Amino acid sequence: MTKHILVVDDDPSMRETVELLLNEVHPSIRFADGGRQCLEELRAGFRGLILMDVMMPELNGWETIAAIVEEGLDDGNIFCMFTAVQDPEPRMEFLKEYVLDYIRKPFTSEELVAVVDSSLGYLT
Amino acid sequence: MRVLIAEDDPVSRLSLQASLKKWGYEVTTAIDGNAAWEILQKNDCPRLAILDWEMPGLTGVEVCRRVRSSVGRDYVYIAFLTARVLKEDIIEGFDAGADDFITKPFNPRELEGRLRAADRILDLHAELGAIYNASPVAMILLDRDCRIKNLNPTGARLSGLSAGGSSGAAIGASLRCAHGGPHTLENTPACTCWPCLLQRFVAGTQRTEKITREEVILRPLNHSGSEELCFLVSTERLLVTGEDMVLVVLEDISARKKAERSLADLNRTLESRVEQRSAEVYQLLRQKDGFVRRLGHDLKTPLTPLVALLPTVEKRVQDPKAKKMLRLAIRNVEFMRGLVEKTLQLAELNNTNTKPITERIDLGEEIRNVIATLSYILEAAAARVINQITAPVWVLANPLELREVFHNLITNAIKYSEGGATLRIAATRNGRMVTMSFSDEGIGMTAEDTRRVFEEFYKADPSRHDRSSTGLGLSVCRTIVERHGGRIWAESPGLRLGSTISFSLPSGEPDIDRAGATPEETGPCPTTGTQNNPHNPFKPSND
Repeated sequence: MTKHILVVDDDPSMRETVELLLNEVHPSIRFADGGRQCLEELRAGFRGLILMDVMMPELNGWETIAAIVEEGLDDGNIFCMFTAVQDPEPRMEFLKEYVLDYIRKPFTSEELVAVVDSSLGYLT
Repeated sequence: MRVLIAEDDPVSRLSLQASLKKWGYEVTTAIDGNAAWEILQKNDCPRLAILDWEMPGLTGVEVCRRVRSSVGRDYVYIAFLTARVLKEDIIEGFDAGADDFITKPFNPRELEGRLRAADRILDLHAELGAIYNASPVAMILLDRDCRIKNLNPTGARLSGLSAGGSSGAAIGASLRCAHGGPHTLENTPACTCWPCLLQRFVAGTQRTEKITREEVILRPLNHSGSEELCFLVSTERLLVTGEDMVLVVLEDISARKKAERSLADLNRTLESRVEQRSAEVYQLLRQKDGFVRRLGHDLKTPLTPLVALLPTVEKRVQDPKAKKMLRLAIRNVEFMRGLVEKTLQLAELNNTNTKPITERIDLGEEIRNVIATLSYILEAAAARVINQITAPVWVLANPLELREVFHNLITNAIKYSEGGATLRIAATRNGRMVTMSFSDEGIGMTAEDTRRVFEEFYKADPSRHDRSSTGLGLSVCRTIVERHGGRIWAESPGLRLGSTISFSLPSGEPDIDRAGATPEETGPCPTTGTQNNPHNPFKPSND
């Protein structure tokens, strides 16, 4: 069974960097340029590992996860966060439970691959 | 010297007048007692009076009594001229206030001598009187019944009071203040009019028998404007010619008080200005930290493709020159990354106003953990770390922040040692604090370096464009140590002679408790809080 990856980031350079580092091993990688596209992907049936940027316009990473949880779309998905900033604001603290791992920016190719590989292991 | 001769006998009068003129006196004469009293009532009368004992009109003794009973006037030296030398007369004369007796017919040399004695006494009176009259301090002498016995011009001017006669009524009976009643302590304890105050002062000395001092606010009588003046009042019990009296001295200290008040105002203004300026500075510092944080975070994202892709490219490229170029680029990207991370770390530590969340940590154990994580760096640098902490030494610290300090100090020692560093780590407890030291045998420091090495971006050699160090590692250490209430300092015997960085932290060892005596106090798991929060080593997890 193919394990799917969805990269949610508003920055095209970031999406392209992740694609360059991962697509040789994971050709089925998909991209969303923000929270809305991410929700659309999930509504359309995406299930897999979601690499989510935190700082995004409109819906930030935490707000996107909150929306996913609200729509009941979290089941079957694993979340890892790209972070430059720290924790979610206190009222969203509970969302940390949905996050498996964090990838600190700027990350090396090895760090990304390590997190992605170990996270994919949790997908059933 | 002016002199009054009161003598009804013309022969005696003219003879005296001639002698006195010869001796240089300016002579005024009176032919009877009434004329003498007339002259002596004037303010500018002669201060020396020679009065005949027996005269038409007022007798000499009567004139003398009248002079003596007028209080508050300049002293008049009175000598009686008499043919009779009866003991009773002499006693009567002295009782009336006489200063001397001269017998008729007079011996010129004796008279001259007696007059010189009179001059001496009058000169003394004049000198003391000049001081008394010119004094800016008000002096009021009162008897036990609060009758004014004497007061100097300043006292009279300020109080509006004057000395009463020998029969002068007590102030309380003779003066009335605004409240209209008689001035007694019972009915006017709070009244601040002069008669009431003077009564209070007199009563005060009766109770304490000592000199008393107090500051009072008074409105001087007839003082222009409604301005109240502040006086320092000293009251002292005195024996004056055998009589129990009270001297009240009032010194106007309004100017001093005013100066003190303006000084206090000035200080207050200064304080509030300092506060305001400090607040502005703190605001600017907060803005700076905010700016640094935003800039740092904004730089992290564009750094990601560089950090992630350049090494991959470098591996795939075959051309040696291209590889060299890429390595140069990677080194500088790594430097930028370090700079961004350390700057953010500092801004983050400064931003956290709260105290670090601390645990009891055994320094020896913690050092062993950090050495283990750094083992491959240490091996690569052929560095040796000698952990001299053998017994547990407990401190109260945030484990993540403490680890950052250790990490920085160990990597620094490696960086600044040529060809295989040797680093000795020791810890000693001094009362409530524990001092830890990291001694290397590296390149050492100048005296200036030891003072400035903790400054942000300080580099010992500014000409060396050293891309291996951000110049922020020790600043981070200092911030962390100071957040914990400790102090950090550097010592070095000189260049090439190695250096020692020491810092203090609060001891984690209870005074009564031996280390690790109770199981729940044997120290926390060293990796607590790291698993859920790898992106931020400075915020301990809430889990």
